[in-house]
Amino acid sequence: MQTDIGIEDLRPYFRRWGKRRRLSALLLWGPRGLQAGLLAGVVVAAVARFRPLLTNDEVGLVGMIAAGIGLAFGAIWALLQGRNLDEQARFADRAFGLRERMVTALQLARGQINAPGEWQVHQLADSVSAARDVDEKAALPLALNLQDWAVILMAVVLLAAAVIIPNPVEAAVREARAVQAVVEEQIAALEALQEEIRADPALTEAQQEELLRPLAEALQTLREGDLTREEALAALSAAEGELRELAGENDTRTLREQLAEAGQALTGSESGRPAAEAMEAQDLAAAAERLGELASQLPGLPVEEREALGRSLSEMGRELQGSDPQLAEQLAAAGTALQQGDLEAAREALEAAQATLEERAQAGAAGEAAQSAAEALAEGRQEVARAGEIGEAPSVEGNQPGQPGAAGAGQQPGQGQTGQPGQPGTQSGQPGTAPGQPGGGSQQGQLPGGGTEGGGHVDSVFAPPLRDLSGFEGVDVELPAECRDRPESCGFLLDQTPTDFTDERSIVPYEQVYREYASTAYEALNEDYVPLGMKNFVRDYFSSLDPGR
Amino acid sequence: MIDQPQLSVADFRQTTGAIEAEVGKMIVGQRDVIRMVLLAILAGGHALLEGVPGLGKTMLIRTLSQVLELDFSRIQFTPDLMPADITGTEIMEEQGGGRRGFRFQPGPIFANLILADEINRATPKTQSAMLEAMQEMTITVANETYPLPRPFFVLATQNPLEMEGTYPLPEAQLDRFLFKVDVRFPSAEELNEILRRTTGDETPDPGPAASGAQILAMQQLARQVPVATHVADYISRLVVATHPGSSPSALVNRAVRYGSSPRGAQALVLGAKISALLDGRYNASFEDVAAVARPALRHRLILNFEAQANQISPDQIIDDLLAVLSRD
Repeated sequence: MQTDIGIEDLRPYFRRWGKRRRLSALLLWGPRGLQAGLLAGVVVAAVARFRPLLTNDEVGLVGMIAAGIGLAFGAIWALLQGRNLDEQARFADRAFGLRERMVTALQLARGQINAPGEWQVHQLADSVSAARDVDEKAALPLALNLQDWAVILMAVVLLAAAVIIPNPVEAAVREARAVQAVVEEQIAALEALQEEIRADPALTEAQQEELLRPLAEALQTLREGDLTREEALAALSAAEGELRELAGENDTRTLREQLAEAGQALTGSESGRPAAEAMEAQDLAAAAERLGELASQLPGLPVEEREALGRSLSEMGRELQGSDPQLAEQLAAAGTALQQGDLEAAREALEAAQATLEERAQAGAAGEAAQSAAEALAEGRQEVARAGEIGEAPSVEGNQPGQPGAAGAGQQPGQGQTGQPGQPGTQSGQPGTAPGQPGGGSQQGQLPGGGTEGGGHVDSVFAPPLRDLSGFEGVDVELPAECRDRPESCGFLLDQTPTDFTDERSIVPYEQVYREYASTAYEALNEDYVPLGMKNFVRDYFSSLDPGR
Repeated sequence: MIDQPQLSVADFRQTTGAIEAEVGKMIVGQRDVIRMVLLAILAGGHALLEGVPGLGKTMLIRTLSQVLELDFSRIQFTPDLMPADITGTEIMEEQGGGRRGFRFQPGPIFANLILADEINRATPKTQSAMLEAMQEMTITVANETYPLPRPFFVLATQNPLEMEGTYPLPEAQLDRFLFKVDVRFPSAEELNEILRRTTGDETPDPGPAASGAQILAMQQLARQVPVATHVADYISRLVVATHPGSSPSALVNRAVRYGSSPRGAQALVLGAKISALLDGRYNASFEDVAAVARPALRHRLILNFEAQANQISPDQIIDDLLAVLSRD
């Protein structure tokens, strides 16, 4: 019986078995980790087929990363096996059928269990003897599990298929990301716009608040994240609408134009000339100031001058009656008072007119700011509408009625009467300024689809102009009053319509209306955001209406 | 140089091998029964052999007594057997000079190896006379306690079929048996051999293979076998798992009314130790525990009505437990 035996005699076996065990485990758990990673990638790929999460390339990347992580985890798990001596002993007993010899030897050596001294030696010798007989290569074969590799192969094939086969929702992924990127840009733009409004000295606090409120609401919505294109457009459109409403409420353009015209009456009077010049320059603030100065100069004016000034003011009052009755009344009152020699009343009336003009000037500043902000929002909206759709919409150029080359450039809606490209104008293509809307300004350039050639752009929301349809129960169209005096300003519509305006209606042939509407609609389909499912619907609709069918 | 133990493991194996060989001369087959009875003897415990009549239970025990060179008593349990018939009694006798006195006349229990044949035929009162002897290895008669000779083993038999006029052993007494050994019917080949041996003119004559002193030394050696902590823990968990409620075995939860007592765990440890020695090892293993689990636990599981109605046996439950209980 060997008596100088110790637990150290077992350690070489533990080391040898540990290496073999880790190698064997590596061959088992490495592929299994790889398998788990690849299957996770397949699951991601499957989900990405139904939900707009990842592009095909990203699916491939995710699959590879997951496979790498799985493989790494499997390898780490395998290499961590058998680092603890107790665990090694238990594994050896279990794997090599050593009947708890190793654990018992270890515990006896550590004093965890007791046995007589000689018994410990016998047990240890028996353990060493049993360890010597172990054939770890037979017990722990380095074999590959074919089933595991079959699963890996299958997962690789599925993942490759997921990368190669086009994903129907990939376009939606790209679109959502493009929209998100544009939304981020718009957030920055809106913040800059807010700063601009806050820094504008021409605006009162109340006006600033009024202008900032719709911007803040739009920002809040945009910052919520994960917005769809429609939601982002809705947020921007809502803010833009409010700002345009605000701009409309504070629009002083007509007043300025009328004032410039009416101010000519003051040029006949030496004292009224500065005011006339300011009015001609359409500078309401300067005009108000000049009127104030005029009021203070009244007592020093000769009687003839005062009478002449009174007549000029009265005339101005009459001319401005249609655009600003309050101001007109004040100017007329000043004129009458001067003609009657009541200097005090004339001064008061002129000062009241000055205050009114200052008010109009202030409102005009707010209106311009609102208009500017609305235009910025419109541009942002256009960008959101175009985001992710570049080159996606099928081209219908040359195949649709009313397209250039088919009906001629002069047939395009919004184009000039003489066949010139459409004038974008100051309100070109902006929503809320469709023809017929009160206060919309000039008819020209407000028709839909101003044409990119003319420097304008197509509105993202298709809003066809209201036109009467000859021979049908059409829609009554209220044309601006200026159409009566200057029909050419109302575009080709009036030019080509056999009407004498006595009933303030216009009649357009069906073919022409169809061509124009269809052309605009197809142009919008090409260039603007229209939900995918709705595009075919729109095309089918116009095809069914085609008079040439 | 370390002194060799007085009895080496090799000696142990050699002696047990010799005992089994000698018993095998008389008993055909039934190797598991012989092994388990021997295990019980070497563990210093008692064994209950259950089987239908004619399977050689009584012959096995009688042969063992011959092979082990032990004093042997056979007590045939019957309904009219009285406790004093087992333990002995005070008898009056002439002591000379005209004086009379009482003298204790030892009963048949005063032997090394007791065959309690058909133990379930005696009344509970008589059966209980065995309790002190089996546990304390003493007998108390008329306030006088008498030690029983060592080694002392009770090997009892009972017939599971004839229940008429029997008194099933109470749980307390069943628990005192280290093992309950089921004696199965022999196979056709074994039956042929039995016929050859018992109907010819040759009478096998088993010789002695061990003495009482050797048995005691072997018992002492067996107790030195170390049991690793996780094996001991496994035994504890196994015994706890025989109790319904929190057992990992659904069968236990469904079929067992009451599980094993701590004596079951002791039986498992001792049985595993001897099993290891018989296998030539110096430590007990899970396999050793599994080898003795059935005889150590089957009589300690009290089954409920559902189990009895569905003929679920304790062995099935033990097998299920061994299968579901983790060895880690």
